Amino acid sequence: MKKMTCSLLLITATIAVRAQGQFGDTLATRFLEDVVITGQFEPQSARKSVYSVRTIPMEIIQARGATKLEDVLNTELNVRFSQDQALGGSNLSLQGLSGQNVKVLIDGVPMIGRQGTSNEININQINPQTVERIEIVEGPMSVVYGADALAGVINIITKKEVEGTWSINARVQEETVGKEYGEDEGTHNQSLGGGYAWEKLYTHVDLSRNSFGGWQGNAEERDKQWHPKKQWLASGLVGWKTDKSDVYYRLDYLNENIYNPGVFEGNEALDQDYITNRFMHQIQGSHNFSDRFNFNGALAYTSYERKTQTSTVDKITGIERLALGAGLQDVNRFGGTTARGTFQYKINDKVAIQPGFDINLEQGEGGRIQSGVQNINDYAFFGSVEWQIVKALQIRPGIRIVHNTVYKAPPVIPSINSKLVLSKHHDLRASYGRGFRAPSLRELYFDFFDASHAIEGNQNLKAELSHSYNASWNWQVVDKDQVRFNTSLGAFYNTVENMIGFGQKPGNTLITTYLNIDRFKTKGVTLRNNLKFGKLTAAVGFSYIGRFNQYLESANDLDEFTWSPEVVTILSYKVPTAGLILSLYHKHTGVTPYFEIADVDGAETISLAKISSYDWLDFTIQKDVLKNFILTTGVRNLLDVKNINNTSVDGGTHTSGGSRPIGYGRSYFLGISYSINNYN
Amino acid sequence: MSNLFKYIFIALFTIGVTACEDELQLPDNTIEFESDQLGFGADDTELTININFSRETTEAGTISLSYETTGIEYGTDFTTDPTGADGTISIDVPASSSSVSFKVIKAEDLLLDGDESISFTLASTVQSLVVGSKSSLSLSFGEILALSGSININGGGENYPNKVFIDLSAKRQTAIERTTWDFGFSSGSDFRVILNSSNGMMVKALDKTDLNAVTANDTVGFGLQLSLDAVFAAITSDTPPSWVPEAITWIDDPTGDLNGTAIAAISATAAENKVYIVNRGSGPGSTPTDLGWKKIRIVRNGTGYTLQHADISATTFSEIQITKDSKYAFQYVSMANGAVDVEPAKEKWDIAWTAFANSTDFGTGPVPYYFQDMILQNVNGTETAQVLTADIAYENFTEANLAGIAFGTSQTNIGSSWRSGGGPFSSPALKSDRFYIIKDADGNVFKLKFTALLQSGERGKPAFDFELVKGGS
Repeated sequence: MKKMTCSLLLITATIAVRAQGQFGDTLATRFLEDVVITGQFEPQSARKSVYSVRTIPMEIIQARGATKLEDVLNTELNVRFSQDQALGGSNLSLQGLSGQNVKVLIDGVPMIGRQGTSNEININQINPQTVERIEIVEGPMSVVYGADALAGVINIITKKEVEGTWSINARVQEETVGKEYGEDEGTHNQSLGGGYAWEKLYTHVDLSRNSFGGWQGNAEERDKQWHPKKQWLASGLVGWKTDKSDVYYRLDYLNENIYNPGVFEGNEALDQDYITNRFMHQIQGSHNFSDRFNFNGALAYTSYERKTQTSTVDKITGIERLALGAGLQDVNRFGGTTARGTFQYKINDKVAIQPGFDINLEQGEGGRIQSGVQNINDYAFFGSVEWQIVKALQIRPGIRIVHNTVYKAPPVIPSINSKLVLSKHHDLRASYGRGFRAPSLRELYFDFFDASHAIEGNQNLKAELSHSYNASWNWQVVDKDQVRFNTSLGAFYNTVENMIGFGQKPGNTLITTYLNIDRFKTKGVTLRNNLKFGKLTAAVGFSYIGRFNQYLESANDLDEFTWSPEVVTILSYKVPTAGLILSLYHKHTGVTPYFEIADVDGAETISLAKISSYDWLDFTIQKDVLKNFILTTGVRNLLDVKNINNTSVDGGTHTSGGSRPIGYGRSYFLGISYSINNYN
Repeated sequence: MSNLFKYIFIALFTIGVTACEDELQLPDNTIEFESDQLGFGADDTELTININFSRETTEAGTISLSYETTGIEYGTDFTTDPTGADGTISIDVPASSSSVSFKVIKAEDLLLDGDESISFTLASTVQSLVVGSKSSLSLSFGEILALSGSININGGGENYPNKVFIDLSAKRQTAIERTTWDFGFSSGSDFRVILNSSNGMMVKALDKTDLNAVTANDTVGFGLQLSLDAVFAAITSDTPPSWVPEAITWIDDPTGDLNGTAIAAISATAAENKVYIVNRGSGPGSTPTDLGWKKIRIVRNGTGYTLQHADISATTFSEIQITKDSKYAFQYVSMANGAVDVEPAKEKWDIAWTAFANSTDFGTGPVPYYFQDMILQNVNGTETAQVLTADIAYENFTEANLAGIAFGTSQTNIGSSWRSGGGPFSSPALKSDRFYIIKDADGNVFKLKFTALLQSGERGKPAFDFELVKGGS
């Protein structure tokens, strides 16, 4: 018999604090102004920033009934997801660069726990209910945020402010998975949260449970194409805010269990559970020494543990037992400490400087990693200057100096951002930056030797290094209270050197290892249009991204890039008097061609393969009901997309090279949330 | 109202989160007879019977077997070792053992009708062991012809320490540790010597015939060529070195054709027999252990052989004399221990499970490559064929379906075709879309279906079912 032992985690928080009525106004203005903080000297409107920062506010996350961040980000331009079929994670790419080049931050602090073959942060391990807004910056942010911010940064800004002196919110959402719905099928999501403010003290607690029943799809027998998943997410925050300073402690906890049932082989099936436990502690603070001088600091510690538990299931008796094979019971543990501080000093009206330090200490251990705890320590100083040369022209050069104890980090990372205001309605941004991706723990310390394999990590790896160029032109066509229309045209070019690939270990050709031997490039154009006309908000975006052909060298007559388009359309109709919002989100992901090596009549041939296009469509309705209730309902994946085809060359003829899972079919959801505070 | 909330909140706000994890037990360590049915061969005077555990025991103890005889009597017609009394035999089980055995010894000049038998049953066992499905054994005092059966191959675990020979008609498996021998000397009229391919042994000839004249200088560069790891590294490098096509000649022809042995036929003219450098390959271990390097030279010795062997830089060598025995296909020799028993008598096995230095093609022509979970067949009389379940289901296959089946005679005819391979990021898996037809040297035809590649998730303990389709002559 399976024995269940349950550990009890107690989250205790004293709730209290804070002067009333600080918020009422800020909430309203924020939406219009799109205040951003990622990479900024101080919070300011996105329009004023030298970076192009996209924001997704809480209102949209709520209106979409999102139970995971992928539900929100999957209709963003230049963001793509592909389901990790082995481990149940979701692989994200930004600007055509894979997720390991994207830095995911929580309130500016890097998340720990890159995982899977794609070595990336699983963005679905974050509770959407605690998110105030998501800020996305495309292009390298390596001067400010260091390693792995090569493609860009996704900064999750969490809720801190309390509406009134106290507030409580509770939410229940039920969702089908395709046609499936039941106790163990479909998605069930519950959350409960509250905040209290008392004089200078403020506090928040949130608890959320997520249960996803999985979806069988093309998988055989007991196996599931989308693995069932259960999550507990909890967080607590206590802060102290005065006129000049603000300091808070925040704890985030995640418990996730992804279940991967196996297929019977003879009398026995191998089931796997991937169990993640994450604690993230943060102390963040800011202090204004004067109008011209302030400090922001963060101290964070994350422990991230990922267990793979494999069990055998007896076909006849159903009895589950631990499996014994090598590597079947595995624990990977990561620990990360971040200490970070930035000073902002306004020398005069034209020049401001931002010096800072960033210390990141990481430990890791686990299966197929050289035995023992491996430490990677990274020390960096950075500084940038925001210089208003003339009224119309602002430039921001920056530099980061890095020392890493393990891999060869680039010693100096420069960047320059500039913004030219052409007129009241036009502005132009251009930037150049270097970005880098740190070699992963596996690339540094992999250790896999058996009868026919000899692979080891390479501690002499250098960071992958990019040059990145971004330019955009913004045109505020109409800017009135009732009608706003703006359009922006952007272009980018990223070229990555020292990409890490497989090769022979120098000095011992018997061993395969990781070497800095590859290169990659992406380039593209993006056009965005936003219209607000009374109750209607509409956005249409288009992008066309070229991905580098890595087989170019061996066959020079091939194209250097393969191109793929995306079109995003968002329509939202708001009736404030009725408390009603209708929203439609559509994303067309065009055909994605890529080059591959295929075996044609016994000869290795480089040929063009294609991933089919697909259309994702969500429709949601949000309606205020009764006094404190909000009803959210809608259809996700209205066009019923499941798997799309890969066509590739095989044996000389074009055949279906398999299918890629995109969704699990049209799903319906209904959610109700209740919120109350001392105003109502 | 607001105050009420206030006081509630100013007090502790406590949320309990239950984070549940399954605590699973280890799989049962089962104890069972190696087979549920065994028989004495015509020439056997004694028979060793194994009782296997699915993994090593954690404690020492004693198991007891009960036996019932039919047509014979303990003491007069047969005895056992350890000895039995009152229908019971006790066998000691040391800690950390994965099997125990006992012997049944026939009395001399025993006259048999042919229907004598003993039935053994596991009566009591060590506390931590759980009795498996083969809890009793019927031992016939004559040869048996098994009609059907299921066999758990005792491969020893995920480091595949054993080579296991299987005789379907006798329902018998013989597991031999693969590090116990080095070479097999052919008993046939040819003078051929085979390598221990289960350890991935490789050899390369030198242009010298005096073993003592060979020094480390003669082997410069061998380390980067004469090993399976070296070959794999070479073919996956950007520019495969020029010696790669030659590497396939450093292992025996995987098909079992003795004309393709890595060591040339031993010549009657001693001066033609060259010195070979031997990489003994690697032995079992979570990190495979290097078995080391030797130099050897083999010459004829009348109708037998003389093996000369030494460490590479040694200035003297040892000799082992080998005599042919036509009952066996090969005489096996360990350089450390001399003659050893490995392979059962020539026609007393059909297929064998082992790791194996095979040939594969990565696009640069055939190269040696080490395969786990290989099924070899006895080239002295066994023939096999593969049948896809898309054509006919295993259950439905009968003698009538034998027409048109094309049997193959290559040692690697089944090979690794019954499973898909694994790698650092993927797991190997059983192929359930096929089964095999095995024709043994006596003309018995069996159908055979693999039922497991793993046991308790562990590689190296596969299982299969078989059934007689047609009896031999």
